Amino acid sequence: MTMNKLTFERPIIQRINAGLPSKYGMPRHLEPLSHIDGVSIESLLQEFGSPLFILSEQTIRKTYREAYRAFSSRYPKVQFSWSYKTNYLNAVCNIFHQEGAWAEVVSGFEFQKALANGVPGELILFNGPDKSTEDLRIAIQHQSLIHIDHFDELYEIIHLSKEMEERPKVAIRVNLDTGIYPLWDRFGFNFENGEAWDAINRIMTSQKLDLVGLHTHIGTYMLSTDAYRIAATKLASLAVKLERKYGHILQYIDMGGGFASKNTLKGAYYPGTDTAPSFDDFAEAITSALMTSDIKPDHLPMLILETGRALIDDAGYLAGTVLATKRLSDGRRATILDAGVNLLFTSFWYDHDVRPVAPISDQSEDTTIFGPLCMNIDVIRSNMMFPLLKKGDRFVVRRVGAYNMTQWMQFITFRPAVILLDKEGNSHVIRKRENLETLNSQELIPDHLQKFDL
Amino acid sequence: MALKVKQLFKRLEWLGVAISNSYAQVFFSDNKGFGIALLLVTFIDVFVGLSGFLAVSSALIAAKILGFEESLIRKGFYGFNALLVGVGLGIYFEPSFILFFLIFLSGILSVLLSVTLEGVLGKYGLPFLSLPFILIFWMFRLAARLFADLGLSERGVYVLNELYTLGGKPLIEFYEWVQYLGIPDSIRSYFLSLGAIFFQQTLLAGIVAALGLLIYSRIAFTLSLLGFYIGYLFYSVLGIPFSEVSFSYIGFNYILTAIALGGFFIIPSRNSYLQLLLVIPLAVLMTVSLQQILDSFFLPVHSFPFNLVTLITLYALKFRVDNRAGLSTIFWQQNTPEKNLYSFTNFMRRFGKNSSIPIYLPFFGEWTVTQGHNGEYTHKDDWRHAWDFEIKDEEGRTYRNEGDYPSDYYCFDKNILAPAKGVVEKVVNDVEDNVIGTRNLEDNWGNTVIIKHGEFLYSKLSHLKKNSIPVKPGDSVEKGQVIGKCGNSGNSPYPHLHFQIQASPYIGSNTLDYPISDVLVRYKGKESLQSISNPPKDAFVSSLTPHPEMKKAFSFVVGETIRLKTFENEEVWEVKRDYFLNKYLYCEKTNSKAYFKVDDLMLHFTHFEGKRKSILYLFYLSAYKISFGFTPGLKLNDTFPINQIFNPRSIFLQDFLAPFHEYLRAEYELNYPESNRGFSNKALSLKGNIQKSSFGKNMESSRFEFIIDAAGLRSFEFERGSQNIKAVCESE
Repeated sequence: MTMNKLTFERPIIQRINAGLPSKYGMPRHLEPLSHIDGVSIESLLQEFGSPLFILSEQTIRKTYREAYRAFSSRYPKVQFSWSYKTNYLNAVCNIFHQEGAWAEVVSGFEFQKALANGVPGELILFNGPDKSTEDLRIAIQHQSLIHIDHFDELYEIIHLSKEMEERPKVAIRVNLDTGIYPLWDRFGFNFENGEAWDAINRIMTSQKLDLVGLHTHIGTYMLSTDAYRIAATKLASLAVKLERKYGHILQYIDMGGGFASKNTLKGAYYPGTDTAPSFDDFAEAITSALMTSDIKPDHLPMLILETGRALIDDAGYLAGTVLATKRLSDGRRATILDAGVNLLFTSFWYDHDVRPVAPISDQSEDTTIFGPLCMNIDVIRSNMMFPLLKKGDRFVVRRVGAYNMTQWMQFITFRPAVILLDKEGNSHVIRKRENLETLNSQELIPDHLQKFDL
Repeated sequence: MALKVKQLFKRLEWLGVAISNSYAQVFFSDNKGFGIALLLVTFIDVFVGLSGFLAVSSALIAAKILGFEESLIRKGFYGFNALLVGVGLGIYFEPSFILFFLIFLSGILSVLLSVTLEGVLGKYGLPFLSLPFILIFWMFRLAARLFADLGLSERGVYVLNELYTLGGKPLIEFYEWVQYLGIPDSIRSYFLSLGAIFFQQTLLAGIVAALGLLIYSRIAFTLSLLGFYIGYLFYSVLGIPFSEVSFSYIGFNYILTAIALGGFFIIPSRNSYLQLLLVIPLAVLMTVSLQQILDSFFLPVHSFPFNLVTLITLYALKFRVDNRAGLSTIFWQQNTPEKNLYSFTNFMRRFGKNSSIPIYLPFFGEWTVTQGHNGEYTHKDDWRHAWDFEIKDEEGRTYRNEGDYPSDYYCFDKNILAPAKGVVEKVVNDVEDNVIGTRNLEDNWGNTVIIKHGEFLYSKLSHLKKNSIPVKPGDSVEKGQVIGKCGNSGNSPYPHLHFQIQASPYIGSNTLDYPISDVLVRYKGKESLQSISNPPKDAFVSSLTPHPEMKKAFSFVVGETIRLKTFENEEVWEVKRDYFLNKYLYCEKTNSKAYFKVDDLMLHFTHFEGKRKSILYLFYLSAYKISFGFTPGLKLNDTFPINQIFNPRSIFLQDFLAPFHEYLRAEYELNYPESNRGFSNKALSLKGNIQKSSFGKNMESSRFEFIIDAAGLRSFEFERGSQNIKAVCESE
């Protein structure tokens, strides 16, 4: 009879935390995460390589439906619009479009992407300060909903409308004081100083544009629902004023996005899972403000929501492999992973939830988690209680679905593959791992630089 | 000159219609051909014919001069009793100037008596039938004994003489041929009975009447035979001595009773036919006993038994609490049993009963029925017609987390809306919400709002959240106004909404079986938009929000006109409302009417009268059922009453079978576009088709398309075989 050899665990020295929990809470045992939707992460890494982005279709659809239910059970006309910048992988966009979401884009590139995905032009909301004349022309042709950011854009659209056949469909973006800091006043027209009302008047008197909606986006990662209530109330008052003065009925109010996901912000005392308001909380604040406003019940505008982060963050995972461990000069442990800030842009503001894939040890140690780049800033977590992983062990980062797959950098190494797990647990590559050819295909070498002798 | 004659004709048009209808009304019909045939039959004896015609004309002109409701005059309501009196007097008395004067008087009297009886019986929702005729005729029979100058007629005894003066030898020969056809006694008696209704004693008259009856209505014809033979057999069984001729003087009572109760005032059905097995023998008993009484006054019973039996039966049926006998009395008389039957079954299929005031779902979004009518928990006995609603997620759970707190439940704290316009009757707002799993049986209904929507129509919304109700008794609420929030008070172990319709304003009243209007139902994997709905347990239900352009196109407003132009034709339709508040589109050019009903969310066409060649008819078919709200790819289905689609000849055979089985079908389908148009100016295209089938085999398909944009309806296209009509629409 042979005895199985116990796995080697490197020795550590740790302060004893027995007795009453301190103000830092009970000693935390980090649960490993071995499966996503019933599929083993280890097997996925073996099949598709490390590191690897994994998206759960089931979670995306479930989250979307939860959000939609929260709003549609409170308000008669609700429409979601998928925020392309949050994650514009075509497969991801199409899941949202299948669920009924329109597209919200902030550049000519995103506009083209939405069109290429098959979104009808009239279901694209065009936001952002960067719209070229050509972008605007195409958007007008497609009867898209242009959310005007500043007067220069407004004048440009009025100018275009004179030479074009189609009447531009526009909304104005309004920024307003909702009692939160920082005040996002760089986008759109200010409510309090009367600029928004001014812009509305210019649109109405131009008679060349169809003013179909009002848009606001009060901030990002909002933890206060009250700010939304205030914003909705102020927009509703504009709608009422508009109807009173011009007899014009607005077709929609777009409350933007900015709903917090369950990630924990750096420096937050409580974890995001405990502090982030639910969709129901946001929905209650926004819809009750609109329902109790002075807008006539049969003129209630459609409520459009562009929330991105809260819809996709939970569905994304980044799995990878430990490259090395070392001890730093102050005695702290360091674990080096094969994924860093090049792939996890969000680690600049989140304390990401990094977990081991396989059960390793009940012990954990104060650890700094580094990425693979030769850059000092490549830190995923500057300090966290982390079990004693060693080279070759697998890790997974939870809640990375938002922004990482659009803001990632091709730096030093290739960007990894992204796979999607469908409802049956089948994996589909939705973005291939980059290789030399991917990158070189975009490069051109002048003749005189073709050759060199060394 | 020619113009003047034309004008005169136009001015007298009503009289022509009213006269022919007065003749047809004897058999409950308003068929012009039938009326004229009967008119000719009375002229077998010229003098009798003239008497009848004089009585009818004087009655109708009197009614017109006195200013009674013109549509009723046109239908012949005030003429047919006068006709019977006129014909009867003409038969019994020798022609004389004084008789003509008496006939003229009787015509006027019959109008007064008809209106009087209409007033008296109408209060009980009953028809006056031929009671005016019987009363007047008895009066004359009693009085005439003292009128020395009136001689009793011997005509009718010398039929051949009469016929010879009328049609010469050929008519005599034809008459003889008919008289001596080898017709069995009972059938001869049947024909004589039919003729005897208006005092005709010749077989020819009966045959013409029978043919007319067959052309007017297959069901009435079948019933006439059925009624006659049940009576005939019952006489034989009872052993009452009778001859075929003497039977004919009373036999028509059974014919008329059978038509009236088997198919005219009661919707024809298997049961309406079966009941005749009881009703006709009763009529026989009544006839025999009445004869005994009236004989002592030397008066004939005439159609008195028919009147009595019919009125007693119809009146008694009104006091039923339910229709377990399957005898549905008519609520909209269309003057033929077939039309009544087809439109009744179609109406029941489309709208059911009691849905004159639409009641909508009282919430936003999609909810699930967790207990329906006759539910397994609490919807029993007097409270069986109620629904419980909750919100479920994809996994079928009604809560998130562990479900330990009311706020974990998706439906908790959601807005609850007034299901229709009304006045708040009662509010309870101070019952604590329960801890999950416990129930408060003391305040069974918890926080509750009761809203009155009409007489005997209240909705009750219960188990609301404490202090969430913003309305108070006496407030008037609009449909969709927030009246509270879903809670967990009263007999409610976990948050849900209890919704019921009731006839009284009290908490705890028993429930009414009343449907919810315009519900999008997802049930067992199928999605359907139901005009009237009683969603079962586990059905997912939601309301659609109307699109403004759809409302603009199809929510017709009284006074509006719609102009349709085709390549070679133009029709202008006016939106009108009749005496009974029914709305319809009226095309003056083709004198056609398309009746519709419209609520906040849907348009339904209900009925068409007029020319089937008109564009209005095609429009009626195509816009038969339209929802103002829609989801991408939504499909609407409906069925037509077959008589509104098939031509009368092709349903001739179906008519005989109609009370038992419909093998002809006409189905409607409307398809909404698959893709959303956002707020763009792009036109919306609604396409659909109409399928006619026989025994499930497709006979004919038509296609149609509406184009709608922000300005409303732009164009309408209809295609059937080689026929293709494309019309551009304008509304003003």
